[in-house]
Amino acid sequence: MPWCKAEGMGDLWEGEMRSCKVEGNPVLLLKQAGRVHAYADRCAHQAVPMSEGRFRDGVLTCRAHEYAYDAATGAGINPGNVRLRAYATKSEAGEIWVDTTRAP
Amino acid sequence: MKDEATRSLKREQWHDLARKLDWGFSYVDAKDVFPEAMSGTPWLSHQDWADWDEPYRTSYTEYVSSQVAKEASVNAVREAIGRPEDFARLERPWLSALKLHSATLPLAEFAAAIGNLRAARFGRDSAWRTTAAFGAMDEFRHTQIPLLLMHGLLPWDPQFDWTHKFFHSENWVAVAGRHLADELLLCANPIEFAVGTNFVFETGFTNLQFIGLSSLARNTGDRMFENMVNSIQTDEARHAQIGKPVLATLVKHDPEYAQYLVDKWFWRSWHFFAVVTGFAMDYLTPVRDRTASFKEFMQEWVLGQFQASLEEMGLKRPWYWDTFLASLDNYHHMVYASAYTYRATVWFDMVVPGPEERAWLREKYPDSWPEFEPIWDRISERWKEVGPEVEWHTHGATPVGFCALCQMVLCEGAPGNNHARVIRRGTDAHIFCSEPCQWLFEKEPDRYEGHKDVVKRILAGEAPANLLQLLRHFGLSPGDWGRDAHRGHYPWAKREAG
Repeated sequence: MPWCKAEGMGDLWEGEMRSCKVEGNPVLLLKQAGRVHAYADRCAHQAVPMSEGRFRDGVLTCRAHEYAYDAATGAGINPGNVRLRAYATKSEAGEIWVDTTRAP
Repeated sequence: MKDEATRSLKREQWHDLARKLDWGFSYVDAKDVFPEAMSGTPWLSHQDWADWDEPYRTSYTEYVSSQVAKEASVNAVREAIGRPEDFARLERPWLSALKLHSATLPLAEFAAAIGNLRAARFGRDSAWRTTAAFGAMDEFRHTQIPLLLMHGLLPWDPQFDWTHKFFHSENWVAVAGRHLADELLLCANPIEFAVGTNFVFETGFTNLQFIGLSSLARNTGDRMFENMVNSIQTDEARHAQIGKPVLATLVKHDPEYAQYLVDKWFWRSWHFFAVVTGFAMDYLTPVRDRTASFKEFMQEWVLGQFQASLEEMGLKRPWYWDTFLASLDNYHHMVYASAYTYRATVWFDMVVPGPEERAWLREKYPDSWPEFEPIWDRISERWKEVGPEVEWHTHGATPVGFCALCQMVLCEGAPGNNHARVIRRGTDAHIFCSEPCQWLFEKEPDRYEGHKDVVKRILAGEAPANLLQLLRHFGLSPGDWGRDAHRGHYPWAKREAG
């Protein structure tokens, strides 16, 4: 049963990010250019929740040490040798579904 | 055409072009430019350092614009909630945590600026030197912010004077702090500095402060402290990253020395954080605001990641790991109980854990806490005997023993099994709190044996033996020496009428 509904996330706005639990895993959801992206809610540096950081101009920045990631791909911008773990998402009937066992 | 090409460089292309600016020397030898005494051991050819890489990249322009924004943010918070009346609302024990950090943090950061500047000149690769130059600027900032913020509180509470005064005093905690900071920050060559400060202290331990303690500050309502440490923390990723590539090169060329430096600075850093953070998390934070114990924060933010980093580097856990794990259950409790009964020798007030706090500590430290119960029973009984305001009834009067290596009171082990040990070298006896402290001393005896701990200073006539005179020697007066945070006014200590 890999697809799980991200409860209460159907109303995610453009440019907004929020954290939720999917199958007990902390997941960060964000919406950019009309598309929903899901990532494990932990910075690759020291596991600080990314949902406590900033999401601005397509860049996700960790609040602890300012590690910056491309919000559309999870790829590290600074430093460039890290990346967020991305999960597959789909939208159905106004709800967001996440599969934490699969990459997008 | 060339200008056009330069203008169109992407950020990362520009970094790769600009960060490596080393060149070969023609009329001097590289060993004269980077003498081993200043650049560190082992002395390797530049070729061996040429792959030095800092994955988190910063240009000077980016550095300045980012720091300006951070300063504006700190200033805005200071304007909004940095007045004495904002601090007067906080719990008194938490204010002591603030005073403990305020004293031990800023001038240690200033010493770290000097360590970084040495690396900015004598580090063996240009990217390392540039990153260290940014690091030095970071550390100046970390000195100035707490000095500025706490200065505003000085007219309200003279104990905040210790923010600047601490490292300039002969206070016993300052003697221990200088013993650590002088060696690690002021005197270490860039290789030892990178391993000890950047890898062990900053990468290994400071999350305890910047993530763990910062969250407790938020819970207590101290948004100023939370904001200050968060602002400082954001600088750490940039200069802390110096540690890994230096250690990686060291492991490749001299793995035994690499392991020694890690083992040395992990133990010494542990004692520092056990006191500064251990006191704050397990005693000075109001129990309702605690989310985890010091041990749990250590397990979450230090042990797992530190062990993973060591494995990644091809290093082993320090040889004293089992001793360290036992220390995690006991050491800060031992020092706190000892310091409480000598609280006039420090510059912050301390608190007796009451029934609620002791129940919490019993739950968090089931294996070790039962041994501490009789100590606090006795102290509580003595408060009940005399009532509030009579500080001296629960205070020691004769100087205690200090470790010849870490300079802290002899508090390793457990209440029923103190690990203090003595060795003789020539005509001198040296006492240590633990096996790792003895091991470190015996590894580099010439470095350490000339230093006198507080008791040796008293015996040499360099410090007074009488406690009241010793307090003056420690830089304290009745206006700022430590007392019980509640002056003994505890609900559980009230005597029944009649």
